[in-house]
Amino acid sequence: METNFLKRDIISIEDFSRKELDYIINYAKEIKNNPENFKEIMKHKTMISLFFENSTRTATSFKMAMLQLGGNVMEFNSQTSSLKKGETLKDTLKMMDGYSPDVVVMRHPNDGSIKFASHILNAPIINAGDGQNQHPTQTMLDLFSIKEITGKINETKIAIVGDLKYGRTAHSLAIALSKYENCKIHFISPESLKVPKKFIDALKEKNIEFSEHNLSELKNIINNIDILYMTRIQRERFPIGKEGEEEYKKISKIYSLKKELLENVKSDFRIMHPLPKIFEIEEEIDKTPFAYYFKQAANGLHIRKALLNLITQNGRI
Amino acid sequence: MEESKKIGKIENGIVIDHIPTNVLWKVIEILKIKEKTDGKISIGTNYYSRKTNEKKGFIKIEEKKLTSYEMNLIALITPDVTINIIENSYVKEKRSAKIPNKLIGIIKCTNPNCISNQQTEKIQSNINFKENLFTCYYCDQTFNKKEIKNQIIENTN
Repeated sequence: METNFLKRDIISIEDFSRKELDYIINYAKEIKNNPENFKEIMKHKTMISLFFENSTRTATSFKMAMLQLGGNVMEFNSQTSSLKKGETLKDTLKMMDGYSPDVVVMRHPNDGSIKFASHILNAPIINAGDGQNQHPTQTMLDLFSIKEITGKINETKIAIVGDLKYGRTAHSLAIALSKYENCKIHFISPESLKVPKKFIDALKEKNIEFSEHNLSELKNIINNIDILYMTRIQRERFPIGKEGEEEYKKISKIYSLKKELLENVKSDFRIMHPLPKIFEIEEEIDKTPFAYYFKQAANGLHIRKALLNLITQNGRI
Repeated sequence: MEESKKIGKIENGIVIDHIPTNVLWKVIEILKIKEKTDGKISIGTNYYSRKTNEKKGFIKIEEKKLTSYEMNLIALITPDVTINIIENSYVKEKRSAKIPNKLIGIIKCTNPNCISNQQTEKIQSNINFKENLFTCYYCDQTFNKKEIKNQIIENTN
């Protein structure tokens, strides 16, 4: 069956088939390898960037993607907008849509806000993060990076470490990997931030092998995996007050990847992280060949270029 | 004949029978019986149900038509009740309460951070129901029947 990306909303990674993900990843690779061929491809196209929450990598890389493809960017600042005067999201979106953008990129603190926005807008929308819910372009750039590291996505052996209770990148990556063959995930987290039961139950229905472990078990697993996917543990996930503070400090101490742990890893082993990283990876590791997180972040540019082009004009695969 | 059948016979209206006694008052609330000033109303509780072998409640309301909103709410609270539509003193139709596949504006999503729970946005909730699980259309939060007790939205119509 032919798929058409034209005017398609990019809301959740679950909406994409394996074939579609492969197509996006391969197209992004083509753009990465031949940037000169694509530098005017979005000429006369305009992207409205609606960030209702702070963002470093996502907002910048979407803007850079559009500019490097020869397109225009209109940025919306929620701090100085009429939202401060009490305007609803619906009215803000209706007004923006009236300016006839070719594509809207939006981040918003509420879960489900992008799906809601997709019903208001005529222009296609790309989810740049809706609360704790979805961040599909992050998952696509993660898959792109895995393929770049190992040459394939099938048979990936990965440990996903950190806040697996709330971490949306961890959940989305697990769902995406279940679309491929023979992948294996080790979920490694402190007891209080384990993968929720509901998510585990959902994953059991999917085509993926997985296991759960405590932080101390990482040393037994690290030498047999291709990818170590670290995520950040956030202070706000622990109870307010002294007890929560102590628990956070205790976990922070244990949860820091040390260089010594990498002594016997596979030669093509790499560490990924959606960034920002705080204390969870010792700075020394940045200089080793195993650190892939900055390259991974840079890959966001190519994935976003591919999506912007596919949904605004080059839709058919 | 069950005792409850002898009480307050009506010519036209509805009879909801075999209501578990612990949810009877909730059903009364849903039907807004307090506000109804016309037509006979009979409410019984602690009657014996041959159907369930337990204590039951029933409600008979004259000149009342059940809206689909009311049906959906009753189904959410107690899906096993019997609803009889009475016309000219005869049972014209027997309905069973069934939770519909789509609940629009009936129950709130259990995720407080969901866009549909933001009061300033005034977005109607949109919940799908499949295989005994509720899923929010917007944020994909899933929840079960036990979790919806405090999620029912007051009908403001």
